[in-house]
Amino acid sequence: MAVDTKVSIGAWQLANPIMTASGTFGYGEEFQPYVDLTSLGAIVVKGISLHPRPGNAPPRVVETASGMLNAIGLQNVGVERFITEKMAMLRGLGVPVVVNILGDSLEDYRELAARLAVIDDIAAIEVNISCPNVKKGGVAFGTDAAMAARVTEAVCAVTRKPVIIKLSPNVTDVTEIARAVEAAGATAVSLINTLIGMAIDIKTGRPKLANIMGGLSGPAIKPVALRMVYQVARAVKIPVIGIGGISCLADVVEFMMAGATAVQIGTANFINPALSGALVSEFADYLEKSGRQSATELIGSVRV
Amino acid sequence: MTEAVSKVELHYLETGTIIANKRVGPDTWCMTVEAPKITAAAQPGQFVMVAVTQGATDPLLRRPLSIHEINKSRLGLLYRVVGKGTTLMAALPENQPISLLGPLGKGFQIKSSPHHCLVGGGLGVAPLLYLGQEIRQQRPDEQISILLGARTRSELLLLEQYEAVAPVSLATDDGSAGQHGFVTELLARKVRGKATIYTCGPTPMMQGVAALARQRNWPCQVSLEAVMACGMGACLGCTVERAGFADNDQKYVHVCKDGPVFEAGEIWL
Repeated sequence: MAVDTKVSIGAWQLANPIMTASGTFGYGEEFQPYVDLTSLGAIVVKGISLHPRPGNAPPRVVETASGMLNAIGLQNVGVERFITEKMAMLRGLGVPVVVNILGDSLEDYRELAARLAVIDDIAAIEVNISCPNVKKGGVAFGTDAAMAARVTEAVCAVTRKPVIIKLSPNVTDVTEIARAVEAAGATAVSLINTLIGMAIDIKTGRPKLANIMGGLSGPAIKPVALRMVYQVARAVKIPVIGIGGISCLADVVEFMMAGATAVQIGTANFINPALSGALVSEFADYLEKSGRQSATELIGSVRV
Repeated sequence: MTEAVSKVELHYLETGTIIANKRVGPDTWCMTVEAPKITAAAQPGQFVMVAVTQGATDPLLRRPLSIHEINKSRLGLLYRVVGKGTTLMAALPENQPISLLGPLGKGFQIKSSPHHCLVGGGLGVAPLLYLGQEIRQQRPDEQISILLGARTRSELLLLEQYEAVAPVSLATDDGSAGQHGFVTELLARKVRGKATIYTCGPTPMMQGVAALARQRNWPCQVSLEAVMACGMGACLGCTVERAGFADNDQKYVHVCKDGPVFEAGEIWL
């Protein structure tokens, strides 16, 4: 097999474009029975904040047509315990690890990035400026181009790791935010985070989520995600990582044709925990059968 | 890729075969699936995530169902038809393949006790059959009682299966079978002395059972149900609040991985 599945995010080279999305793959170890983790391009771990967070009250998830709403509220152990308790295990997994970070303030983001900058074996930082499920921070940075740029600058100033900015789809023009973070020094952008949604139980007359609103994910959002990836890939020169309802090989290929350099598998991990690993081999087969030498030939190859 | 690794519990993604899928009560069905790997690893109180559709995206998520029975390499799943997913499930024919993920979660702990008392209400009776069978096998000399409650006689499901394990006492809200009233009252009246309680059912019932167990110093294990996306600790969706923990990252535990069976005093029911 002569096909080359490698792709690059700045100076960071991935063995293949298949990654797992933050908040959908635990810390990787839960999926070890089903996926040869070492075969994946990378895993992105659940968002880490400066201090531990309990997350939102239940119910936190609800199924919707071809999708689901979640309002987990970034439950996590905080950066200190992440470094002391989780990093040793993550190092042992044999897969590049991307750490997703989230703050309430510029200072939070800077401090998180600084703490992680000196930790070996973290391949990249993904900056969540787009979580819809926490009261302050998060999405506030992701919906304002100037604020998004300031977060990007703050993070890039303290780390030499690749910095991926995760963009919110809950904006009027996603390319404006993408261009702003590119100018501020981002290595790459990943998109989309979830779309804000809602569901009501008509028997009780109450929202189905305790948080009232939540983030919509799954196949239902794929066309929106694909459109945004396409738009952003044409607006910036940095690599774009495609996320949003990817559930099969054809979805991976579609996102890459639209301009994604790599993709993240999210909600689909919940339904088929073996999916990400299967996609790695299916992707290599696809390249070969479609007569391509390299994964990079696919990127942005859509004919319009 | 099915051999699990040390730190995680042993569970499998297994394509089983539907042996039977029959109606056993009003809106309630029992599906028997041939699934050798999952049945070999299962413990009472554990559950499986069932893919009710294959390749379709609506409904999207697997359904968590507790293991009702294990018979050699076959497992029984008792479920109520309440929505689109379970309606599709009820229509699945025999001999069809079905994808299961499991066995998942922490099941019942079976320790020596002079009297094992299984208290179930509604569809919460499901995990208690397998539990009763397992206690009978592991501790043949210890007393077992089964107390089952339902709204009405027709909702008392598969009684003969329970009666084959241990003496069964009944309570119905309308008095159409057994004691007229709640199963909690039955428990208060029938069980004296030292006992271990295992309960599964509607939350108000389990609250009543747990409160009585506290008064009488009975160890009590409760089996919870929750909406969940993954069943294996990744989505963090199926939260339940821990008893006596403040607003920090210790505040919640997860039904899929920390449960579904908890010590009653461990969580706020």
